[in-house]
Amino acid sequence: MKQIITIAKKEYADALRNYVFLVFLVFLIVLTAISMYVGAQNFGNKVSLFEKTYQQLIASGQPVTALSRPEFFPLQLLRATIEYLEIIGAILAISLGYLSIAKEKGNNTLPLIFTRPITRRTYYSGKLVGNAFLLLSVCLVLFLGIVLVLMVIGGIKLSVLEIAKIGLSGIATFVYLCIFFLFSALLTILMRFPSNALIVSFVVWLFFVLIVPQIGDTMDTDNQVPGGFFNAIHVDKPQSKIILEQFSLYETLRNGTEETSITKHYERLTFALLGIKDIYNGKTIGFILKDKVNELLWIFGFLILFLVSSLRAFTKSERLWQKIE
Amino acid sequence: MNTIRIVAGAEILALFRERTMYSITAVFLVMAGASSFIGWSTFTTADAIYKASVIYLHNNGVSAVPDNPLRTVPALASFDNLIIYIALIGALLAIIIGHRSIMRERRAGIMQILFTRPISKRVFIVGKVAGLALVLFSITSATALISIATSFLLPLQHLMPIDIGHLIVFFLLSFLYMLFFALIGLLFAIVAKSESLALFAPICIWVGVTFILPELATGLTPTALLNPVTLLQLPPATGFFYVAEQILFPVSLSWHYATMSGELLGSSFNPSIPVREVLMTHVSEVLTLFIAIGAVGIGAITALRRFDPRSDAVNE
Repeated sequence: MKQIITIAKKEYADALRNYVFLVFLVFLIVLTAISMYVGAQNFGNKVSLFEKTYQQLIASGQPVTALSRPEFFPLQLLRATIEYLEIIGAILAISLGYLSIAKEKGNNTLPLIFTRPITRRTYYSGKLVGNAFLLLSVCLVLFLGIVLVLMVIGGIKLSVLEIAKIGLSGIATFVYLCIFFLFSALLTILMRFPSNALIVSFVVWLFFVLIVPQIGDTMDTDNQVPGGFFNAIHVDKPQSKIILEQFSLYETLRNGTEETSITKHYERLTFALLGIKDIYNGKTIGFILKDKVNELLWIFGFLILFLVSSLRAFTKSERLWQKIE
Repeated sequence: MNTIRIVAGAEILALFRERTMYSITAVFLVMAGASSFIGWSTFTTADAIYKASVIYLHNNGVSAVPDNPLRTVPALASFDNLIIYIALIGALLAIIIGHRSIMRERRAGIMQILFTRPISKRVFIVGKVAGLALVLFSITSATALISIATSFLLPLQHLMPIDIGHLIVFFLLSFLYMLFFALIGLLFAIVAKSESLALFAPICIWVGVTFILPELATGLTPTALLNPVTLLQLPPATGFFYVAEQILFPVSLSWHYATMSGELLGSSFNPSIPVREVLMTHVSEVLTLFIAIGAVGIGAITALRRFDPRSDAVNE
């Protein structure tokens, strides 16, 4: 246990000295601030547009009953923040996973380390603990920052339930980042050249973080026309559901495409917790977690898969020892 | 000139020998083919849903059903996804090509020996750029061929000669866009001390160009920026976004690329704009792209001139 803690401390300190990690951390913090500001501006624009239309209708003597004032839900401001965590957070975790293995593999120092009385399992566990604490610190800084910005700068009074929902989203983010860390570490262990592992990690990241959700989104028939396909033909939401029942195979395929992406599961869970998806707005945490049990299973499934396979790869793979010329 | 040709030739051979490059190029080409299929299948399903909706509404006593909104969608709109795939996979592929082209030499310590030969750094970098430009051009041409061939294989796609013209200009524009990112990858491969920083830094720039600048100027979230329909259907810029748009628009390369491509593929809801007119209305945007390419190219030449081959060892 003492050995694990020593290695974990070294991993933590190493990462804090690494330019790549620091650049991404600053990038992520700046993006979080920008995205919240842009979200607030967007809401402000909606309100002013509403006011303008309302005044115009009043002035022209027309009824205003069809207009509904935009409601402010502070957690919905985090939509873009979550999307940036999906994209940049995953890159940060990939960089950590890569650096954690590559720094020793690239310098061929691993054989030397294992001349000391330490097992591979202990060594890798130390790395995992150190980096997990680092990712946890990142999430803590970000989500505490979010709460502070909303409450202090925004002057918004958050309820205990809302703070708990932000906290749970922080935990979901931590697990999501751990998955990418483990995946990138796994590839760096298994591939002969660490730089190739980094490139492959990026390709996989691009595919599952950006492309697959994009395919699912563009396959959504309602997205085929600006303003919505069903809106254009004057079909409301309940009616569209009845009509779409005839196209269940297509919808299953579309959903199946999205299901292959861990990012989509993370997004569905956090969007539900934060009430970004309207139907979950104001619902209890118990209700949301029960409804999103599928996403939870996927997320923890991926975590266990990569945890077990990377641990196994580190303890068994011969590639780790191959000298890099 | 002969030396440039030799360096370019060596670059092309080296790139085509790399398995990783093949894999990423394969992913890109498959996605190019798939984009037409995805566009077609979605269009066909949406069309069937419209017909089902008409029946449903008639059965429920609604007689006045609006016309099929898909009728106004032009034939080239099924290529819309390509705009996104080129901005994502194409740009990443280009960064990796640019990165590898210098990093390969640095990792092997070739640059120390290379510049003891009678070859100037300027000739070397021009040769490198020529080589990677040719590789990118080949990949873009292959993408164009696959997309056009796929579109002929699928029903409901009636491409006219004018459409093919639009597609060719779109792919030329895509080539320039990818070349910019390849040069960014090349520049950082020269200046960065570690291999990972040389790859992460261009990726940060790519994220900034693709997501952050457009978000600041339009208020669209990253996901909305990946949807060709919402991407080109912007709310009017007011207040903060108006000011941000005025400042950021001139330098927002991805925005220029997306809007010009949208018009070329007809998805910005004016399908009959001739190619020349699209280009004439976007002269400043095309110029910005060329200036950006030129600036990064000059930056790469300057960086290589200052580069000390003795400090060639790359590590983490």
